Amino acid sequence: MEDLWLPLWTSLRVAVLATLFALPVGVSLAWLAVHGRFRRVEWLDMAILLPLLVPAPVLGHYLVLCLGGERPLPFTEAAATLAATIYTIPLTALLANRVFRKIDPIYARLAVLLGASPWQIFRQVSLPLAGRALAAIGVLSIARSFAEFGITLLVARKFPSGASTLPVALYEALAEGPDGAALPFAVILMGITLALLGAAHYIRAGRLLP
Amino acid sequence: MIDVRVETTMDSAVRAQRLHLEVHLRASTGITAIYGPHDSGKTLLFECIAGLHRPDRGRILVRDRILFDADSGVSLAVGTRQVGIVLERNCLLPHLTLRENLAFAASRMPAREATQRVSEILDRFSLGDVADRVPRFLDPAEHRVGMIAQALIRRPDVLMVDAVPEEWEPSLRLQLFSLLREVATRDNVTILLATRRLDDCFEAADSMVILRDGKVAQDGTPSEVATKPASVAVAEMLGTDLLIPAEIAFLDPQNKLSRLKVFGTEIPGPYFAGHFKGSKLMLCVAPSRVDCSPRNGNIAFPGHLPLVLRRAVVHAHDVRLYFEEGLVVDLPEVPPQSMQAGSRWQMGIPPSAMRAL
Repeated sequence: MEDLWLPLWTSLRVAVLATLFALPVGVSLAWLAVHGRFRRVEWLDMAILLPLLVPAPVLGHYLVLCLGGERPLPFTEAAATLAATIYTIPLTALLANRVFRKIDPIYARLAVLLGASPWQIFRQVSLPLAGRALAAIGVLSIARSFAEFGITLLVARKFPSGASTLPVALYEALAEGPDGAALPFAVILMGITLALLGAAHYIRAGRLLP
Repeated sequence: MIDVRVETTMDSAVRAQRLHLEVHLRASTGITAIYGPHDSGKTLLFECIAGLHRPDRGRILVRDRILFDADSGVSLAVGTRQVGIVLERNCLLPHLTLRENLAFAASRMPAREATQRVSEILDRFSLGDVADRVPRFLDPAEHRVGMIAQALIRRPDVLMVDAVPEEWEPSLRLQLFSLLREVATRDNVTILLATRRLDDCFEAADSMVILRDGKVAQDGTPSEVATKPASVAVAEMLGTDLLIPAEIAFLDPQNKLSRLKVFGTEIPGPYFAGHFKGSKLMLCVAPSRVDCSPRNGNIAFPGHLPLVLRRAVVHAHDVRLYFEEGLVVDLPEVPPQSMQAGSRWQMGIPPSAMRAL
């Protein structure tokens, strides 16, 4: 049973931490892509999309190169969190981008005319108007981080404590042979993902948050 | 006092070619209506004054303060221009109460002054009872007044009101105009009111500027503009006068008379200085000065234009007659037999009522 609980608990911790990092970064990037007044804003859009298109092992490889050497980060929970954060930021940014684009631009225009700074517009206009949708995106980000596998396999397959994340544990169980040991991992992963997806839907629809 | 001389170009929302704005506008304290059709440049002009759009050339002065000067490279930031705008749609921030919306507009003031100003302006516009409601619980008039209050919170020198919603009833419009007049007088503010309705110019404005294709077609008091449109284009925009194409058949400078050929018929006209025999011109005639009546038989009275009715539309207080010749005349009442398509009519125009454009 401990084989199950330890990776589950590790994965949840990593997912929540990764979301705490990915959500502000992704939301800020999305807001800049919508409201930023700088040239070549499309480059930002492309930069957001890039991690989604590049194969996970490539990202993992770069991450190992960046974190490797004398620094102790690889194969720790921090490395797993970083991997999940990188994996989650594009999704968060893309979803938040859609949300910000749906907000009537007249409110940002009014705020500019009233002399508000970009930071005021972000904090006092865009964030409150997008609040519920961003909360739903936060929940989806947890699900996304929870499911991260490709980069983690390269940078944090096994922590010094012997633990790993749930998807990696599932992979390890599958690699050991088709004896059904992987099934509980798969069921829990699927169950938690479905639960988070449902929660995000209910939050978006206004049934879980006002 | 505001003096705006700007030239700029921008992609147009509704037409293929770009909108080129080239405007010189002067307005003093009071309400100046900026009248023009959709896409004539009203909103772009406001954006230039507010600082949302940087003109290519020109200068914007408000009470001798330079907001923008292309030559010297001066362009004050949006928030420092002392200019208020009331946007066309009701758009107070939906997640804030009215009081919070006003506080948001006052956020650049010192905290104590901002609180005082918000209370003062809520009292002034009698909004105290609804101050703690979010916008969706305000009625349209309260919402609009809230937006005016929000635009005035930082004591602007110029207030720009970007049109009153088309769907508003006349009584509501009059209330709003009365409020704007009070603001103009009490706060010594220059108010620019963009509108697509001629009625708004008469009801609200001390002076008006007609904007057409990004250029000032005419300015003056509303009655001056309405009685003496400067060009055929302005007369067409105003739609208040009859426009009748004519050709000078005969000129008598001694007796100050002429004869005009209109729709194949010669009628007497005044002497048109600067025109010659054979000159083509557009007669501009106030509908109230013409005598339009059904005629018996084919022959019109001497000096009258024979017309043929295309259709008649009965309204609550009058009948609108559309003639084959392209003229449209409103009459208080019309005999039923004369309302049929093809009915023969005649129109007498006193020479003193004719103006050449």
